[in-house]
Amino acid sequence: MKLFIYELKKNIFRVSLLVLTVILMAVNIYKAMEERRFFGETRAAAAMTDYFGGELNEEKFIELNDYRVRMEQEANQAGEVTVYDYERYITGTAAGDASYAESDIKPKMEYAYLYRNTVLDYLALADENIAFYNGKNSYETSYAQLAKQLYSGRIIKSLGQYNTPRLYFDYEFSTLAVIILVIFVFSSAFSSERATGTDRIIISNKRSGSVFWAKHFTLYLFAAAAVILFSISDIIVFAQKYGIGTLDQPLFAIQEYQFTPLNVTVLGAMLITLVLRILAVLFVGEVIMVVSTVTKNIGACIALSFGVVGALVLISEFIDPYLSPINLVNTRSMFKNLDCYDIFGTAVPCQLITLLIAVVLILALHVICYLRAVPRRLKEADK
Amino acid sequence: MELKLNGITKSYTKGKKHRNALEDFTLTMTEGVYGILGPNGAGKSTLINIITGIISRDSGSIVFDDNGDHDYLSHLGFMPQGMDFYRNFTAKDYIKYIMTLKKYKTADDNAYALDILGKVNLREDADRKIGAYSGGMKQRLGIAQAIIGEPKVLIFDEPTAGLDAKERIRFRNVISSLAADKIVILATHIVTDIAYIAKTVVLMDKGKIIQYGTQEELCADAAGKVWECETNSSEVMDCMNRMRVSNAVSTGGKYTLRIISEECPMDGAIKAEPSLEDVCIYRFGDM
Repeated sequence: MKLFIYELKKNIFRVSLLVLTVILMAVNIYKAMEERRFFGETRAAAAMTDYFGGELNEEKFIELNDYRVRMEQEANQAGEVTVYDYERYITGTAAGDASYAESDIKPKMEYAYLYRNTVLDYLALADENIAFYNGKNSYETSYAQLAKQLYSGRIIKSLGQYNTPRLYFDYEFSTLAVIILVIFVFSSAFSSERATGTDRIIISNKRSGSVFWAKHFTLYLFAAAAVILFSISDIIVFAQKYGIGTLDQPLFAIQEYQFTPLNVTVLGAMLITLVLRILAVLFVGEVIMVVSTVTKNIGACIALSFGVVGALVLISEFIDPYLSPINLVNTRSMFKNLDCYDIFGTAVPCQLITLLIAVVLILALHVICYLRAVPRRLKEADK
Repeated sequence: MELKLNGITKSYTKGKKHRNALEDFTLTMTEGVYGILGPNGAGKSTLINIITGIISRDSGSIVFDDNGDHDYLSHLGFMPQGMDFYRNFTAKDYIKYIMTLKKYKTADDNAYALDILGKVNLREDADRKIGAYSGGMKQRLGIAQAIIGEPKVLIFDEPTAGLDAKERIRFRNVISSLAADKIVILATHIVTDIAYIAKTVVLMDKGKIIQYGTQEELCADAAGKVWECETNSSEVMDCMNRMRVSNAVSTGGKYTLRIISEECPMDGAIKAEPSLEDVCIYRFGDM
């Protein structure tokens, strides 16, 4: 425990890190505001969704239609509007309310209301495929069976406003900022000890293993804390415009995720996203830890870390996105569709493979780092 | 208390090249300062790394005995070559960190850290960041971390590299004050570090002990082989190229040379008392 605290002191409690964190946080907030501005709905659309949100039924459609008709009439009578009236109209004007009701709320309601039919069509297709491929193509049969299992019973009962979670799923810069912090902090984790000669004191005191674990616990704690901190900052920026939104509805209630294989609520998906981002940062962190054992030149380690992480990001652009743990950052590409790999004739969701690859790579890097940082020669010398 | 190194051998293979870094190194040490002298590549650091458990040995054994206590690694204080520190730590933090590494517990760690720092005259700077320390202060901090837990074996690898004359003297004094009931091993290629404080000097070259003994014994071995003579400036370089010159002092237009030679090197040369530096030149040529 004490060693862990000293590792925190060595690596984390530094003025330079605090300054970098503040700078990156400021840049991140700016970028999140830009994201909100370019990819979020207008305030008016969100307000309209909030107004008409809630349980969906025939009356809701009638209510929306009546409202639209009334607003159109008021807009025609009012003529040119020079002052916004937010007391009376949701968007500030009758014409605005009428327009949003027709072009925005109605399609959203229709999507949610008719989702059950979409799913039923899909399930019928799955049944057809099972009947067609059974005995001919085990993968296609397995895929159709899996789809049927995952999509059965899906229904959207209410209309919600999902701007904050949707933006949170799509926004990746904060994870990049955390990766920059991780490089800054951990690229010198082992190299600084070699540079200062402390590694020799550690080895002669037979504490290489303890120090190794202390460093890794520091990485885990820092990665988790930084991802959570930046995620909270992102959510605050998005929620400041839209409110937190509807979190208790299923993820497929968001239209972009209508075929998501995840049967979880929006809140659940946000938590999964958080965990996956922590996992992606841990993967990068382990890579950097290994890099920091390569040379005692701290500057070279930092440069090499940026190079290696840059290469990993580039590689992830060119390979199957499910094969790169870096893509765990991108919720949309991870959870938009039910993509499967053919593993000996069985359809295995690609997301599971990505997770497996990430965990295996993290463990492998951990072992490599251990072998490099905790010399076996010490054991021989102890005999 | 005794530390016996028996037939320590270590070799490295790089490609097709095979090199013996240490060859059948045998030495028995008791309380006092042992100076290990040798040119670069003599095997000093390899020896230190083996004693401290940093690298393994190919063969041989290390046996420690202090009234039945054989675990010398638990009683080891070590200051590695080229040691540096975490700039954002204070000296007190650093001492407490090394105490944690050594699993050394006291009733009051702060008081103990201050006490240790007091021994190397850093008590008043205990709460300053190490980043603001001078080279000499860092070196003393290096000694301070080595003496945590009253180790019985103290090892210093090239401890005075980069220090000015005043700090060197201070270093020697601190080591002398600590050495009374300890085995202190001082590996260096700087002869004067050892000349003042080592009770036994071990001369190493190419992984082997060339000679060891007290300074007097080593100097006696070179007796009659050290000469002093005067020459003019035009002949100095010629002398240096042809002969082993341990010292050249300019006095006006003339130079006084100390030459190591089996026979009288030139007319007018007179025999001089050998010093440890002369012995090293005699044994190693240029260091």
